[in-house]
Amino acid sequence: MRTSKNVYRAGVIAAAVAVSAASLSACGSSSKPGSSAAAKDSNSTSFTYWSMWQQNEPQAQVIKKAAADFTASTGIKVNIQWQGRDVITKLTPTLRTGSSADLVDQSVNALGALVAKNETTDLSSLYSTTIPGESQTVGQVIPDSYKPFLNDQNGKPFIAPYEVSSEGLWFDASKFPDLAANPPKSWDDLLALFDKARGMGMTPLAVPGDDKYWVLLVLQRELGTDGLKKLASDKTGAAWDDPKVLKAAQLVQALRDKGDILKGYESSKSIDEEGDWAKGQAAFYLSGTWVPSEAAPNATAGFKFDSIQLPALDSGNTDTGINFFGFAVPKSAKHADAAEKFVAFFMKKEELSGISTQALNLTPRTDITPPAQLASMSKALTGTVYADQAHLSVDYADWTNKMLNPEMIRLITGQDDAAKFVSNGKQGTIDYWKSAS
Amino acid sequence: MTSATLGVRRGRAKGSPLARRRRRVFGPFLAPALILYTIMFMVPTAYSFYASFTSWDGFSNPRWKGTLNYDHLRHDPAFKDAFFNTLKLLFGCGIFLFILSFAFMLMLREMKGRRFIQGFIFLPHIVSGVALAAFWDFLLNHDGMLNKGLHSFGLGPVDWLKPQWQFNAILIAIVWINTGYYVTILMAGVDRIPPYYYEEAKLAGTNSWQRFRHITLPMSWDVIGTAAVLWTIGTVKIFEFILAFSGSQGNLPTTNQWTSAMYVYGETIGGTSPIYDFGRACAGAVVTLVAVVLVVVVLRRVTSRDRLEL
Repeated sequence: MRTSKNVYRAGVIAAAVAVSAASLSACGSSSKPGSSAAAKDSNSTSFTYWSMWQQNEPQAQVIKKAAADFTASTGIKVNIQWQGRDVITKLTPTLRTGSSADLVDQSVNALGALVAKNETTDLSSLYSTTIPGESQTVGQVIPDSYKPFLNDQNGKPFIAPYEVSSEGLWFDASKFPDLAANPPKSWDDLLALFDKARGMGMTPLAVPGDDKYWVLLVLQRELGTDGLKKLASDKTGAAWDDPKVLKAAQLVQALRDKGDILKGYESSKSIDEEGDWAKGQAAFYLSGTWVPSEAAPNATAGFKFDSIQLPALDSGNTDTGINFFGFAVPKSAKHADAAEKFVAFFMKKEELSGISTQALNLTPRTDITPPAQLASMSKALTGTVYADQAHLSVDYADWTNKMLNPEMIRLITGQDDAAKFVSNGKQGTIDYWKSAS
Repeated sequence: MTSATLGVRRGRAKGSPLARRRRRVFGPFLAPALILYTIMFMVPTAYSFYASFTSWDGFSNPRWKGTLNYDHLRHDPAFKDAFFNTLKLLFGCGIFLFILSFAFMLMLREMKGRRFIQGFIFLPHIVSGVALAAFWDFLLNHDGMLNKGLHSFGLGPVDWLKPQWQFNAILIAIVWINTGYYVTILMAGVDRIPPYYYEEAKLAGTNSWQRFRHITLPMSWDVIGTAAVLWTIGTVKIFEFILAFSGSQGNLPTTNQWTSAMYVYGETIGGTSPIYDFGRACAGAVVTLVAVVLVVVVLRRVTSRDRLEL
């Protein structure tokens, strides 16, 4: 019975392998995060960069050119992997055994996941590094007003921003040539502007059915940024009793009731409404910095993209929301030295200008001319800024997803009126905190 | 085959040296598949069960928190939406799907060119959910094909995709996508029924309902049972169509359109600012799994009848 004995033995071995493999995987999950990070190099000759862009996007082209220039100038090789927008989600599992990337980029919000885990490098030394071939340091070319939003919980910078974004009310400057210079100062002025658009034969507004900007930005104008945050953080829900919340909701409801919004918007997505607006069916569209490049293919001949900010309301607040895209170095990166050198190199005016000229986006450097269609937006960002959407989508992500966003959509699409929005918001917040505790 | 003959065979098998050897080889042949299955499915499933009792961001070490995640689910309106929507898919869509599949199957049985039509209704099942979602949006949005069609008759436009209706549009789409698949499965079961049963029934003067009730249904009962179990398991996995259809620009669909799978995604890595709450997501997955197991057990009980031998 040799054969059967061998077969039996094979079975036992196979079972043993299975058991040890399973226990190995269990061991893997109990090791301490980041504990196996190798000693950091100080003279790395290469580093790995995981990018949030896809290879054919204009930002990728700018970064690729900078990487080639960097290698030519320093001899340090840049291994770029185009991971796409979910780069941080892909990176996270690798952090347990030492980061797979020495450099990553994403929005300040998406990088927040790494910051919360204390997995980003303090970039203070990078901020005080002089940009190659220039006299200023990295920290000096970033406006001071931006800096509070670039710090981790210890007050140290964790991101080196290379692209800045914001939101505004977009319009065709060939139809409203003086508007950017004389934006509406009050809500009544804004409504008068909408009436003017109607007089010109256009529906005043294009709004997607899942729009979050109108309600959120009007709430910000009514309550101020801190007041907006309180709606999330006040566990008693009492913040929703502020009459200004109801007023903001009523202003938005009135836009809908008056018929200021393109017909059928309730069932549309942003890409549809943006297209309809660019084709001239509506006069205004509230959205982000990406609008000019995204809507350009649909735009009518002679369309001139420009934007204004919403006017002040009861709080008197006229701050501009700001969001950043930039580089971060994972704490367990092995070639952080080379990665930081590259970031300083990329912040050179010569390299960073590509973000403005090729990718048609704003950069943090004030000495780089913004693309013409973003000039008004760039000017707004020289004033007081606040963390985009009051940072609700990061600090209170779950509440925003489950409570605020659905309620805002119900209001803008007319499923709820302003009073219902307030009562649902209050009760929803109370319930949310009860279940979250 | 009766149990008596089975018993005889078993008795014989015990004695035969060949069968003994066969039995010994059985283990080693099964082992590779079993090992892989254990590592790839059973261990993660067991770990998910453990993780559902912890606070875990998918990265740091999980911290034990007892049944708090489950308590949370009871009060979480998003989970209630997700769970209820999954039930809507399972039972609402399921009933329509099976009625439709039976209707198609009966119609196609007697038709010429049935292979072609069967292929045609099977087609959506092959196409990726993302492409189908784009098509569905193209068809139903305000400026979509359906409204353009209505317009030519002087009707509409209708807001097919207004928020209150959007999940219903998803339900209809899911039926549309899956009908061909289940028609094919049912057809395979019905095709085994020998034609002379029907011929004889016809001679006895039965109508088509009676033939369906007394021949088709009982003789394809085991296939129907299997198809129902497949559907139950399939509904839990419905995900990419909803994400592509209702989400936009990296954002999640609103919670009133979440299903259990979307809940797991939304609580972990979904959206522009992911939440990474793997503990709670696992609890949601466990509740869904338990519910599905219960449904499957009930379905098996209801549909388990002695298989009729042909």
